[in-house]
Amino acid sequence: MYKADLSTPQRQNLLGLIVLLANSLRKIGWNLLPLLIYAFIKEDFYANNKLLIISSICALLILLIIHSILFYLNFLFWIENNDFVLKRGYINKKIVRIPLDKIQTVNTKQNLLQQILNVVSLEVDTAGSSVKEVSITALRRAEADIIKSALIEHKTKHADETDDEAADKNNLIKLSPSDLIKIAFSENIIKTGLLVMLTIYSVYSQYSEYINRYFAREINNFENQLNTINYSAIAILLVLFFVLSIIATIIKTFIIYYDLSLLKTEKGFELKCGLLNRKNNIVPKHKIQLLKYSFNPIKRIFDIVSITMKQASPNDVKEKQSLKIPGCSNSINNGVIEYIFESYSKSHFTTHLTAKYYFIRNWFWLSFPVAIAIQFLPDISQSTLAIIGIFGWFIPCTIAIWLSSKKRNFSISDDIISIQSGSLGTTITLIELHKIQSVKYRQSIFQQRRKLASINIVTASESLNIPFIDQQIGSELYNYILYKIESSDKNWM
Amino acid sequence: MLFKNESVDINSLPSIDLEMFTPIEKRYRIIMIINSIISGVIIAIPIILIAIFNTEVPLYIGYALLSVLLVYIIFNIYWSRISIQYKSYLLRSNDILFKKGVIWKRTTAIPFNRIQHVEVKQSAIAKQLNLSKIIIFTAGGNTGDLAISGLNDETANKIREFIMGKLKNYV
Repeated sequence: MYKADLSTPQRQNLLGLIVLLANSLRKIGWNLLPLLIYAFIKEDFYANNKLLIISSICALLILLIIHSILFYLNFLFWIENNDFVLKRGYINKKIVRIPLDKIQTVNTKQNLLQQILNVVSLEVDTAGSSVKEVSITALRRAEADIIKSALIEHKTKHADETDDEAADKNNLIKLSPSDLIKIAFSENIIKTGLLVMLTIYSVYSQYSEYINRYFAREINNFENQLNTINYSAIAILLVLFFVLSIIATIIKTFIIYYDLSLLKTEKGFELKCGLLNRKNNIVPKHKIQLLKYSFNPIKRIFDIVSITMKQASPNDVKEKQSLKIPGCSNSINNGVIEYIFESYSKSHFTTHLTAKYYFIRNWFWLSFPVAIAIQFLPDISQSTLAIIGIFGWFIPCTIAIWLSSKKRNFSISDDIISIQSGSLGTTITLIELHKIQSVKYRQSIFQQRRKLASINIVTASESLNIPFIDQQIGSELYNYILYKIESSDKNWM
Repeated sequence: MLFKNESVDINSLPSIDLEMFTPIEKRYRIIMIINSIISGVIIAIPIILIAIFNTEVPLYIGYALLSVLLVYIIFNIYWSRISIQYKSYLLRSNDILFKKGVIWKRTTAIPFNRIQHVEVKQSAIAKQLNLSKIIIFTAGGNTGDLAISGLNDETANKIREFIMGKLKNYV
């Protein structure tokens, strides 16, 4: 078995050369794609400049290979004086030094090529800095595990006990393909469908010149059909859209969450998932800043709850720092919650509702401006469509706002605050009070008249709003949160 | 009552309603006025340029936009007189609070044991007026940070020293 001695500078695995080369090829290829398409589509361009094109591609390849070799040789990492040090670059030399206790998480990832070569890439995330984190592109799994535990557990020398540890881990969630299909059906299918349409449209508009030239007849036919509106065609289009959306959602779910497993380790969680890109995240539970779980009526039927655990992260890299589990049963969700929030099962929560005025304000500011704007649309105003538009807007809008203001509430126990929101679906956010970074007490003069106030809670991963609660409760909450933060000797990360 | 099962009496907790906040320096209004004039000029330049070089746009639109801008700047100057009265801060033994807003009032509190670092900044104009700005950074990112402008130089540095002293206790 390979033993990484991190006290001396280490190189990554030799296979890293291939990965590096492939990565830079992909990057450059992607940027040159429009140029290449242009070169090949314009008929005589390729024939006339054959030699030039082929020789420049060869020159580029050779440069890339040299770059990769130099990059590989100059890429070193080691641990020194409790700092993780990474040295890289051959022209612009760069040394990154991260104190071990500032390291948030160490994740491993595998894209398709890395899966074939049987290597993993390792990423080190730190909190608080927006500096691009450290990443090492190719390591054997065993090496990566040793480095991971060295970085997380602050041990420079690691005994060969990775196998014993694996047995200790408690497998919480394992998603089978049938689970994934169930989850895909309970996701927001229409949203995914619209996103797919948007992507197709943006690709189309980027290359519209070529597409128009090559598919001119088909497009013409299609436009002719569109001109004669018939309702069956609309129905078929709608069904088509729905089916495509479902397929897209299933594909998306499989690519991201294929073979997901969540392990409970001694200190936190380990999440593995992904089809083309396998990723493996280890998160110590004390670094989790907040937990969100959500469900909707469809998820209720299947007994599915989706969970997101967020870690501290600077503003610009929000997505990366969260663990997302698309679905698990209610009881497992409770298990996860009780594991992170140790006092959860013993806590007594008191729930406080949002004031009715919250509904009135949102309703006023959301429904009227759009309803008025509809009247001014050139083709619609002064027609029956305007009236239909108003009702088509007002009724669902009112229902959605009514549901969302009814659902909005917060519950508090000695150590935990739980904030509920959502309209059709429900999202509940749980935060340990001592992990809050700062609090804002907000009150507009309109709220003041009604003796209402809003509280803003800022955590290291997200800021949350508790709107329109009683002034008295608001200031008690504010003072209590401050008291909890200031009197707690627990660290927030 | 907020809690059913408390071990602390809620009424015994320090409350912000009862305490006296210190207002920021009144001289800061000069900077507020200068800032609103500068930002007004920056918006005005493209309007003027378009009005001069683009003959297709009727001139009166340019005049209308400029007069709206002028009214906005004058309003800002007037408003700064009111809004400055609502900016005040309070330093307690465990946290710092900052209050602002005339119509939308907000009080931000940052406990010392959540502060990452503290910065004192001074612009060229503020230097003439002997004013400084203190910025307090937390791990909460932009939304969690707090900037208090319009402090006397010595006050800002004193606050910074005070907080830095507190920070040492937590490490």
